[in-house]
Amino acid sequence: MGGERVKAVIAGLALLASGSCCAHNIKAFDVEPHAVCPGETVQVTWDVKGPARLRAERGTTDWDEGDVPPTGSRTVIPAVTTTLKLKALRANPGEPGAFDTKYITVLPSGRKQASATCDAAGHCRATFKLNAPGGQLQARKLSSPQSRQDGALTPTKICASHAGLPAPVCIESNQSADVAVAADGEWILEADIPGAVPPAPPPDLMVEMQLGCH
Amino acid sequence: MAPANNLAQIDTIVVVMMENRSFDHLLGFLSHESFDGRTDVNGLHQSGPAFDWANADAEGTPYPPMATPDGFLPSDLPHSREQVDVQINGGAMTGFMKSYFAFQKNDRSAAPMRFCRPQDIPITAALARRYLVCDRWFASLPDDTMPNRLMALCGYSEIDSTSGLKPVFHPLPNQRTIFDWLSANGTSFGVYVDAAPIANLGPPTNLLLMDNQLKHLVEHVHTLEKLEKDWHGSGPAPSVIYCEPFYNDFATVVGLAGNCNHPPLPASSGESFLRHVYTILTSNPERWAKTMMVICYDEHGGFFDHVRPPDIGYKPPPNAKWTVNKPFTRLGVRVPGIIVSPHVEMGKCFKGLLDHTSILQLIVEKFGDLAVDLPTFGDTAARKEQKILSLSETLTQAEPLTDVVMLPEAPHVAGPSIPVPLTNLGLAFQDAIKKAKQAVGG
Repeated sequence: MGGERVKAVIAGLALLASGSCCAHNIKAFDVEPHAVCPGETVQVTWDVKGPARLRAERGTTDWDEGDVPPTGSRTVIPAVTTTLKLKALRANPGEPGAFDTKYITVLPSGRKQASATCDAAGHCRATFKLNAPGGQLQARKLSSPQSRQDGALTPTKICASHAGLPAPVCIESNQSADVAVAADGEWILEADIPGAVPPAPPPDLMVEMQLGCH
Repeated sequence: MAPANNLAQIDTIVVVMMENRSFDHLLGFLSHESFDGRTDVNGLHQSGPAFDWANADAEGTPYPPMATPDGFLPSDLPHSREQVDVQINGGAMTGFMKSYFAFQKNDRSAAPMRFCRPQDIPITAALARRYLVCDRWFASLPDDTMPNRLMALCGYSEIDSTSGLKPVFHPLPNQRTIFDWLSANGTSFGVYVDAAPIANLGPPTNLLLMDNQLKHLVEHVHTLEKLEKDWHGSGPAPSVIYCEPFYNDFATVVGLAGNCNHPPLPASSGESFLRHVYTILTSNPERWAKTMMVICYDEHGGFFDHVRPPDIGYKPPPNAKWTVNKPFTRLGVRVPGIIVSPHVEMGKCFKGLLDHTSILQLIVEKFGDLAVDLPTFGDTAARKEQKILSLSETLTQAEPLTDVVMLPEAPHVAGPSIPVPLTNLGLAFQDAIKKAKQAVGG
């Protein structure tokens, strides 16, 4: 709307202002490591001019938000991917505050799904790409193959391919398959789904992927 | 056979078009088993085999629709033509998370999959529960604000991108609007803008953005306070009324709280405005008995919806300056619609197919000649042929029910817990608006 019309100008001004007025109030702010498996710990460190406040927007069970000393560190155990925000409070009236944001990626597990493209024969192919820095995430089992179309889930035979697998692993609707491969990289799911021929909306292909960390 | 409508009993049509929310996002709670659990509304449900509409990101991780306490969003959500195409994904409605994560890198939350709890939007919830919900109202185009608002005002759009307007403050194309038709037709109308927050700037409105509409801006645009006086005055009230919120989606930056509901504003930001309009209209029982208030949204704003938009296409009209020179092949994402009037069936759901041109159909049907006038509104007549209905079809209450809902207080909208610490940007925003007005000769 009217706001959209001025977006570019305002956004530019915002960038100018945030870059010029505030950065010096936060001397250091970091998380290590940036990506963990569920249950692992992350060290958060900061060094701020004046009083500060630290906040986790979601994903930690042990801590949420609170005032912190200007310099400090804290160990957190994020449950899911988490956004951490550090705010430098105003040290003096009229002096601007500042904030910075860091992200902790908790490596994913559980169900995987991706939209497929289907040919005229109803052969459907979907891809998703797992990003597991360091290769510490391992795929251990595939199960519960399903397709979804127009909101309805249907058990479906699905074959999964990955560069670390010697051949595609196919699982029937009531079966599972053990795999042991670094989960990092592209996964391809393939299935034959009658009725998924274009222009019908493309189906989702789904598998439960048991993941674990090394 | 459809019941006869009560359009003859309506003297005043009031249109309120808010910003950027999908049906499932705002009104999906009506059918959700954790909230209202209505079976007549096609909204959201608890997770289950038939209603698992999770959208996956590029890593295959699914994000289900989540009831989320209201608040400022981390950022705006993507909703340009190309981004909406990704979101709709050929009709599967599975690209909302992919689109969001491709659009920005700072936030990893499932913002597009949020849906509102009724306690966070008490005014909208009360009106939706009491009056008539429309669950098959689609944005006219799978696109962003301005093309959809032009469809709502004109029935056609010479542009297919809001952000494609160059330079930033260049006015919209000089299209013929419903206001031109009303003016030529001798039908009284008024545009009332909730301009109190920026009274020193004057009302920002759609009309400000079109050179050829400035005459209407001068003659017909007023603040919302004037509606209260006009509504209680001895003279006739305008036959057609457009009530506009304060459009400002950058409240977190400039410190001016908009109430148009455009993200990153909370959904609750517009509640006070809607309450204000409803309170004014119902404060004159005699006039309220002959009034129809239409609450709708211009487009989905990047929020998830699970209903595939119908395959009703739209070709570039004459003089079109589209950024993508090919037709649209379907309507836009489904948006909320609530018809508030003594002449609708209370607490029901209207299942007929609607889009923004349904407003034009309604106004022409009431004050003009459908056969003669409707073809002058771009694609409106063609859409009527494709079974898009007039909003008059919603007026099926046999005996008008004029009792009024006692609305709760509108929620206070708090700013984000960590505000953007900027200085002087409020002044910069004001200056930008002034320059925009000068640029169009205002």
